[in-house]
Amino acid sequence: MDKYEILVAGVGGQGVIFISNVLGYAAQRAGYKRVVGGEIHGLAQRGGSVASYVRFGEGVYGPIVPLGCADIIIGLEFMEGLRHINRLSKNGALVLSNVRVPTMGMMVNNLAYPNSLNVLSKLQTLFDRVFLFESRNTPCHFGSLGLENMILLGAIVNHFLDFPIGEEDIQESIKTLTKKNMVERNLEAFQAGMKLRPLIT
Amino acid sequence: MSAETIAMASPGTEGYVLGNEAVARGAIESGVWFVACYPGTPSSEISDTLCKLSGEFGYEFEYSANEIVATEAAAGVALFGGKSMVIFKGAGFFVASDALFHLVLGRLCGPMVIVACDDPSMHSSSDEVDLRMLAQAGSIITLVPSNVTDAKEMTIEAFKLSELMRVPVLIRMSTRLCHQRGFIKLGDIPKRRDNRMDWDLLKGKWERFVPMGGDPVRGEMLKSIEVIRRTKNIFEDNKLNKLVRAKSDIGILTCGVTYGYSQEAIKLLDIEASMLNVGTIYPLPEKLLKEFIQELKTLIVVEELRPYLESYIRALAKDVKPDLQIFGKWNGYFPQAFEYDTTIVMNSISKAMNINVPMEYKEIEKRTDFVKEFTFPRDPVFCPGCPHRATFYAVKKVTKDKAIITQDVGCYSIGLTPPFKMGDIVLCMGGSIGVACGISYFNDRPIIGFIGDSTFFHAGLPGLINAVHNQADFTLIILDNGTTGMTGFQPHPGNDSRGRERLAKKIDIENIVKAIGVEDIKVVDSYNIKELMDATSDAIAFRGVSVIISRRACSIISRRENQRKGLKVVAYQIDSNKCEGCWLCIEKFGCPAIERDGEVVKILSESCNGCSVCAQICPFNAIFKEDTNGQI
Ligand SMILES: Cc1ncc(C[n+]2csc(CCOP(=O)(O)OP(=O)(O)O)c2C)c(N)n1
Ligand code: SF4
Ligand code: SF4
Repeated sequence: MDKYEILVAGVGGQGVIFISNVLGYAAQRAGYKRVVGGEIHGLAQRGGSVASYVRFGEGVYGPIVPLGCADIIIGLEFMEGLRHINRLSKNGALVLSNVRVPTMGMMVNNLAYPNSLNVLSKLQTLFDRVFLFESRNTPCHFGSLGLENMILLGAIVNHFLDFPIGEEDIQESIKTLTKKNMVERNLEAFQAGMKLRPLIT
Repeated sequence: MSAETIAMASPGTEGYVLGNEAVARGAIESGVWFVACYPGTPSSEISDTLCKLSGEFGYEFEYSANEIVATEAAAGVALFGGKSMVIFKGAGFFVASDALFHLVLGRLCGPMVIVACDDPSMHSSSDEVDLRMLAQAGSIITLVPSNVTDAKEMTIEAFKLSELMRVPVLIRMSTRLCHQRGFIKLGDIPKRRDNRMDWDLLKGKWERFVPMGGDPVRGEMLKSIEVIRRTKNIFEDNKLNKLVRAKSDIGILTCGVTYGYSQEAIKLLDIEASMLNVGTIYPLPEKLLKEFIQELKTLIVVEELRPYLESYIRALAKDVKPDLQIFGKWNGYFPQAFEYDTTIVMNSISKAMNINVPMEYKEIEKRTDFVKEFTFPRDPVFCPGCPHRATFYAVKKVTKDKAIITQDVGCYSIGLTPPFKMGDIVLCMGGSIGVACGISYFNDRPIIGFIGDSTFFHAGLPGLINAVHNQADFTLIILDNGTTGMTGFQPHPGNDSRGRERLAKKIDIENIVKAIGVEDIKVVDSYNIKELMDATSDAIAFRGVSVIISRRACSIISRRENQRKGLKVVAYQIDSNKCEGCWLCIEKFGCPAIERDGEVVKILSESCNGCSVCAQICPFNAIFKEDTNGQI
């Protein structure tokens, strides 16, 4: 594959930047010469949106995925994944987690969180490749809380045959980037993700 | 992880780093002696990385009280032969500019590099000033990197250039470069030395630097112009400018991150164009630019913010290439405001060249419209247990939206958003005090100013002195959470540490306020709603300047402290038999640890920071601490 563009989105504290870094290192291990990332994380600490881009291959220079060019969007939080849909290419994969974090506006105004299955069945009329994974509540030795990023990554590597980075490259970069006491947990969660089937395809 | 990547001393290895971290590495490879900063997004990772590594690589690091004292300290080091760096965001440049604009008139004995970060699209700023214009106004030599590799290399070049020219050199970054990641090759790091100023070596080099009015400073001014002329010559033929000629009479002129976007855009549009990316932005390489346009029929200028390059090239072209067709901001082909990306650049070029864009934007728009219905904006909120939330709640209870509220810059700006919506004006750092002072001369309603502790030290002191001296009448609430929260928890003069566990002298806010002559001062616990409300009523009644110091550690900091000490926070709980579902704790208080759960609310125990404030305000006493059954 000569070029691949990934968009990772979520809320502060979900590890958006961490999995982007894992993907960046892994892409280099997989032999891509040009790897460029970009992130916007102004107020992630205070529950804001976080999005990050990982782009690699021929002709990649800037940090931002152009409109309609992402090969995959990884939404660690359901609504955050949807938010960036204008960057997804027609044949791109939209991969969403079932983690749902209501916004303060929704809480204050008592608005219901959108029903995932309803949204997705409509989205399937616009995109060929829409997937929902139950990354929260995945059976996982250490519990899945806070490890949804690793779980979703495992699911993607296993499920998408066209994903250009393999299991080994990802595992090696997880080992490089994780603090010692967390390596085992992260790898375990990644493996648990690899066993995951999408709830809706 | 990142500071570790930067620290991997072995030259030749590669690290996947932020643009900001690349600058930090460049400073370390240049053997910097002294780094000073005042934090500010998007610049903070440069200084935070340099703070973390200052012990390991043996240079001095200071979180300064504000940007101008940071600049002065760095100037002191460089004027007397050291190597210094000063770092801030774009607005920090405004604060530092008094020092900077004068400093260019002196002759440094060691190099000094200024790093300032613009924020196109104002992701975390409230201005879109183009620092290139300010640099030009102040005759400050300026380099603009366009990617992560550049960021490191230009930092190293900036130190060399500053040493050669004996004036400070500015590296102008921007958000998308600061927070861009890429692989850089790590270079050698000079051996650790005991850096001391060598007065013998300075003999003959050091010139007294006193650019006072009149002839002495006129002389310095002429020397300064000569420095810029010599620098321009160096820039004419310099690897910091990248020229790629194509077999085409179309040329594209870029600066900073627009270089990458333009490369991608012409690839997507499948057109050939020569490209010149200008890295030496002040002074501009006049000859190089002239040569570049000589062979063109059409020039497209792609730069964010003001038409800096475009204005210059239009003036040049009048003389050397009057029939050159130029597309840019002047004739409306490129947007005047906000950041660019490949999409914007591609669309603008296609308009200029009258060619089709190979994208189905109609389709994309349709999809975007479709999800709009399901995506709500996610504004930042006060963390669970944030002391600011309690303060705003109490003040709102007392003032009932009748007071005029001057706000300032920090996490407490979140008080402007629902559920509090408190704040009539935010001007600039420290503005809460000066603005309140002005309003108070002509107004009888209560006026309340909010300012954070870091901001108070940064720019609040002169304002408060002025207001007390001039007998203004308002209430200032200093939100003392013991840190610079908004920008990532850097220490400030009110802390007893100066970063990396080095001890510091703690400056006491209460004593300062007393010394300034404020006669009505109260220190209250931000977690005590009753105390806060009483203090607010009293302060409003007092004629003259009153100060309330609302004190409680930022809950992120206290959570970290607790974790470090192995203490477990005891979460609060709802007694669902007592909860009447009045939603006050959600709709009027808005702690994100509280959620609706059918007819009642529930508290997410893993998010609760145990501040107790929801329990104090619940009208039905339905909230209690997990292990104390019914009592706070
Ligand atoms: C001149 C200038 N320098 C730096 C900043 C970046 N900045 C925004 S808020 C802030 C300080 C926040 O600290 P504090 O006032 O203590 O409030 P907190 O966020 O802790 O509530 C800083 C440094 C800025 N906006 N303007
Ligand atoms: S970081 Fe600290 S000061 Fe800022 S919102 Fe969170 S608790 Fe409040
Ligand atoms: S005690 Fe109440 S207000 Fe404080 S953090 Fe917990 S839930 Fe939020």
